[in-house]
Amino acid sequence: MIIGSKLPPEHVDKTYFNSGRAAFSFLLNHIKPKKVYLPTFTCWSLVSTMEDRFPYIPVEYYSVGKDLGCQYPAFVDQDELLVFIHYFGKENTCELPASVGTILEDISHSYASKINHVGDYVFGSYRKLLKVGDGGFINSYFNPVYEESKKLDTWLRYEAKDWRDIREAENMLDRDSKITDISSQSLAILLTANYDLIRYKRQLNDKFLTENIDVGKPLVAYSDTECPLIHNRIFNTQEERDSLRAYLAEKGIFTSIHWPTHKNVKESKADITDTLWLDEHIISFPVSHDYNLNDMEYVCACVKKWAEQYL
Amino acid sequence: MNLKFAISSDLDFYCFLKAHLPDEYTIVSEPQKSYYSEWDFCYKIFKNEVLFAEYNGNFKSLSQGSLMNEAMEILKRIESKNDHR
Repeated sequence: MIIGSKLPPEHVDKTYFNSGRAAFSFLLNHIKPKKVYLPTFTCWSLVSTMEDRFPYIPVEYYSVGKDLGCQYPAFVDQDELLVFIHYFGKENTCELPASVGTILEDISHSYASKINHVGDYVFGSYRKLLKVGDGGFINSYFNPVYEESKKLDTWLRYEAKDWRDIREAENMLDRDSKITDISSQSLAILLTANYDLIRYKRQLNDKFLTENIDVGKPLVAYSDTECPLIHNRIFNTQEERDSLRAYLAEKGIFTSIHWPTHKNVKESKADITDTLWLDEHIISFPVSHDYNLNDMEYVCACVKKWAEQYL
Repeated sequence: MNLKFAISSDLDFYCFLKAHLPDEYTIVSEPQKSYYSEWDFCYKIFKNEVLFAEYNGNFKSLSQGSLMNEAMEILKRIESKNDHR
């Protein structure tokens, strides 16, 4: 035993990055897989990371159904890596394939949900759930030598006054994504966040929309331990969906589509029938803990007015 | 010129000018709303709320270094105008 004042630091099972894609890239550099399985229904950041940073690693896409059920490959072999996602905060309970390779569990959507993690590595982004300028993580100890970057996308997010600078920052990250550390501002925000309160407020908002919007159908039903990321609804037709989105935008309510299918997924050999169907029928309402039930009431009133005029 | 950081790529154009333009100037990004349009750019510089310069294009088809040089030129031009006031 040594008693002294200048001992090596402790190691903790958490490593921070500037983004989820940086965490993902770091893991791929670490694991060096020879093949990667990704879902057909996914955020483009995983797909574009493979394209931009790992063009030499073959990617095989596995199909995701309209109910978000995953058609995993039968087996993940040695030197292979599979990524799965807890979509929109809902636990992904599809049985994982037998594996002697590596399973990556993306919890970007479910960071505030109470889920038992089963992946060999757990990683994600903080920007999906929290209003932070940057942030990604791996729930394991690593000691990265970060890449050089001025982190201007993060700087811009903290300078932003409206959506345009946030979108510009997003574009900057898409154009040039480095593996760097999280900013001090973001770290302070996420370390002081009240995740029980976040979960509670998001559950209330989602429940309100579920019970008070009469058009379309909710995609996901959450349990008491799950934290909704957004409120997704499925519409009968793309025309209806797009009409509602345009109407709501005029009223200052900005919805999104999770997700427009990436060209690489479209060009893959995977069955993307249901993924394209989701792309065409889904509308995502914000249920952030920054909003309260008055905000949700306004959303519902606007949807009702749209329905009266257009349906 | 007292710079907060150096510009090292065309991709830095917007932030570099946002950080360094004098107070009477503002730069605004007007990104496209469509998905997968990250390489397109539209930057507008205003002087006292009047359009001063506009830059539209796609980073992938730019002549390398052109926006970087333009950013430095703009700052020099503005600085020299201010010097002659």
